[in-house]
Amino acid sequence: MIAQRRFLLFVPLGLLLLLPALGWADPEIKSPEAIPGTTKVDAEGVIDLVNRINNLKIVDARISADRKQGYIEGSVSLPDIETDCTSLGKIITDKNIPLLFYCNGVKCGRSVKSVHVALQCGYTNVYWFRGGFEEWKNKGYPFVKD
Amino acid sequence: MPMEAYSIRTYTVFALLAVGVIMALASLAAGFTYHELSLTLRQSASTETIELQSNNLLRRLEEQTRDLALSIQRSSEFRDALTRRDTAQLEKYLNIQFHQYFVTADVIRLQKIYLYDEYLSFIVQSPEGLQVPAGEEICPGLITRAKRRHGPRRLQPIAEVCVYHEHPFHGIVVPIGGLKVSGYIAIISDPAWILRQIANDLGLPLHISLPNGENIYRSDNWPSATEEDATQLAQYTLHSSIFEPALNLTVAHALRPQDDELATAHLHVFAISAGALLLALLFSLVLLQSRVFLPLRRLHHQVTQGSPDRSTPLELPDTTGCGEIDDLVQAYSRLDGELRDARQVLQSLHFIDDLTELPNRSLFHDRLQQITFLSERNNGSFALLMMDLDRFREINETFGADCGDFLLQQVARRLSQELRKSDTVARLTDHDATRFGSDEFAIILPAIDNAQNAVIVAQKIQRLMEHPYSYADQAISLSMSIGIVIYPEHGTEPQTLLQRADIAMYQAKHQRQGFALYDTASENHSLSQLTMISDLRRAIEHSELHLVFQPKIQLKTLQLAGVEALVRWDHAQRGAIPLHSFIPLAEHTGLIKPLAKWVLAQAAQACVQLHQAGCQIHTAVNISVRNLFDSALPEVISAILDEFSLDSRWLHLELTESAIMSDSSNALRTLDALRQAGIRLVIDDFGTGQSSLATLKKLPVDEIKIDRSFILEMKQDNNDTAIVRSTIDLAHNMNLLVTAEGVDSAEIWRLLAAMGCDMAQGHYIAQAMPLPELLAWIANWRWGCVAGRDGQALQD
Repeated sequence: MIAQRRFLLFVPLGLLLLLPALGWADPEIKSPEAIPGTTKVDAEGVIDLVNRINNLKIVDARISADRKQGYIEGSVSLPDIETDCTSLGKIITDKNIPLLFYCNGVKCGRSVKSVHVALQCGYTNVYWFRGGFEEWKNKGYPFVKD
Repeated sequence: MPMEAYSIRTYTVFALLAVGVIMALASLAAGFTYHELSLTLRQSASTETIELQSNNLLRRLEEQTRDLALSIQRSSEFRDALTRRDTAQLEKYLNIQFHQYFVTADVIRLQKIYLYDEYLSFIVQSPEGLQVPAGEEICPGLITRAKRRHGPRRLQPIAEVCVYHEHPFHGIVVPIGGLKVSGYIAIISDPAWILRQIANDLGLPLHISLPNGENIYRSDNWPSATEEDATQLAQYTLHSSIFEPALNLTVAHALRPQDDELATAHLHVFAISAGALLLALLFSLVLLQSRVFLPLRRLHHQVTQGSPDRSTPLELPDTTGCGEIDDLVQAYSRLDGELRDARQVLQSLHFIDDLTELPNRSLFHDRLQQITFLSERNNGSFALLMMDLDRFREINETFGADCGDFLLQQVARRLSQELRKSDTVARLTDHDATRFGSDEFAIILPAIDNAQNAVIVAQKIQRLMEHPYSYADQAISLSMSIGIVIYPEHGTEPQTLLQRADIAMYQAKHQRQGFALYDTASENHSLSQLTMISDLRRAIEHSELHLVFQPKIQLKTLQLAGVEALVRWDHAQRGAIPLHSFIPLAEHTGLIKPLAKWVLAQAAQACVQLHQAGCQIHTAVNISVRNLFDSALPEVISAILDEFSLDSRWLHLELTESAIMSDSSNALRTLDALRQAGIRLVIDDFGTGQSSLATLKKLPVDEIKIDRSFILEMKQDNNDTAIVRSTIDLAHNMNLLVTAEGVDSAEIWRLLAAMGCDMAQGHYIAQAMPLPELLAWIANWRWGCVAGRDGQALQD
């Protein structure tokens, strides 16, 4: 009995030992370098767009928990899971208005997903800030926390 | 200055101790260096830690002031006032910040807030905070740096530490209006305030001062002046963005705890190295002791224990376990061999007697051989004179050995001077014999063809010797006995000539006639002697000899005290041969050795048989002086005693007076050895020789036998009676037992008993008889045998 219990104890221990190996085996998921039909920008590109285009809409594709860490001033929160033509339409009525999507960073797929939805919905002027909030914060640009 | 010689061991111990002291000093020095190094390392580590910590804290201050700036600019009230450039409103709003949570909770020590427009031109400053003269700004470089940036970079906050009027300030510029910049806000705070936390973060006393030394902050637990000696300080200087020194941050380490630890570590290192040293010392000493010192000592012992004349090889070990010592051993061994060879060469070359510088026996024999060959070829003749000094031993004893040596030298000189150069005068010494006692000289006179001429020379020599010798104001007279032989008349072989010269010399001595020519008339006698020699040899080998035993009776108790064994020879053709005719023969031919051995063995056997028959008595055996010259005699006797398991005290040896007085040291040595072995020595025929009781005292003797001539004469001659009485008294005084020989009447018996004589022997008691008869006689002897320890009972 005791031997059996000890054996049972080893099973979770063994699994714990396997965890880092599993993480190692899993390849790092990154966003694509570019999305056809969109314009990819970096942090400076974002600032440039904001200064150049008055009616630019910045969409924060992250979920609200991530947004609480801080966000680019003037951005609208629309998590990717809630993004469809309807929810987009509520924010941007004119499909020619320039739209900019960002999420946490290059490892975050939310902005990619939202961009694809926007393209499918027929938005023509879509910008994609691939570096996302990570790049923004690292470069020391001002952000807002609620 | 001569250097004192110490043993290798001492040198080794000194060397090892020196190494040890050097090691200990090295470990001490290493300890000190380590201490210094550790202090330096700790100081630089502390400095780095302060730097890291102050950078962290400044970063935190930057974040806090940035957050403050962001919170200000987010207010719409403020933004409106900014848009309107309502300076009064703006000032009011900025002043409020000095009373907000950040400041009141002492998170930030706020010094000033400035506002700028989007082109970084000054708009307004907070009236509260540090008062600055008009036209001056705190950290003006900050705005200059901010202005230098263009495009998106202007959105990034910019911060720095600056020095204004020797004081440090922290400033940050943050854009207002998010991504569309409508102005900038600069917040100036006191960096020293947040840097005080270093004390808590590092847990060490902290001192913050301006570069000019002005105190900004000092921890409560900062060491007092008295504690400074035991304190190590680590200082970091915070610089402004343009590298002016802005602040000195100093932490203090108390040295004592670390010193104690170091001292303990030091002690440990020292103890370990001392222990290791001791172990190494012990180990090397043990190793050296077993591998070097002991083999060396053993070698020294073996080399010094070698025979003094290097005649036998040194007993050296094959291997000692130490290569160098093995080499030494080999060298010694080689040297020893060479020494032995050289000695042999020297010995073979040694033909001169050291004392007299005359040829010695070897050279003499050589010359004799030469002249024999020469005379044989030339049909020539020569004379051989053998001589020795009379009473030389007595002279030696009376005047000392130096005198003896002197006399020998004088005799040699007179002989050399008197004789011709062609004559050979030699002193018959062996090159390895001791000088003592060899008073024999020999002369070869070449070309002497008749005995008469030789006799003339002998007489001349005698006259020559008669002149007294002067030694230490004393005149000493000497006489010589000379034996003469002529070649070829008396023999053609050197050995024969020597033997016959010897016989002639003994004859001369015996007859006190000075010189004697070998008696050709006794040629026949000597022929018969020759046959007798071979007969005697056979007799010994085939036991034609037998022993008879004469009882010795204790006068007081009438008990049998012992027996004297006497050898008898019943010759097949000649019948009984008397002792006095075959003993000298045996002595001269060397047969005396086997004869004595045979007699001793027989006597020992008889003694055992007597003991077995219940009669615990001793057996006395007569031995010749020639036997005493044989240094192997004690070993022969002890072998015989062992063979019959007989205790040495049961064997007595009887020697003639002349034998015991012989001036041969070899004979004396043999006597001593016999006495050491527990054998009792008896002087036979006492009174006939020339010795006195006084000289007897020095000799290893236990008992004397008064010669029969005195005893036999006692009846007629009162003088003899007196001699016997005084001899008995004197002998008793010297603890010697006395036996009377030749007791042949009851009258003499009674006389001797009255004089206190210990033992008697003679016809009156019993004849000498063979063992079976003796056993029967003992059985009939009423008074039985001596009980208890022989001799002991007699003396009591």
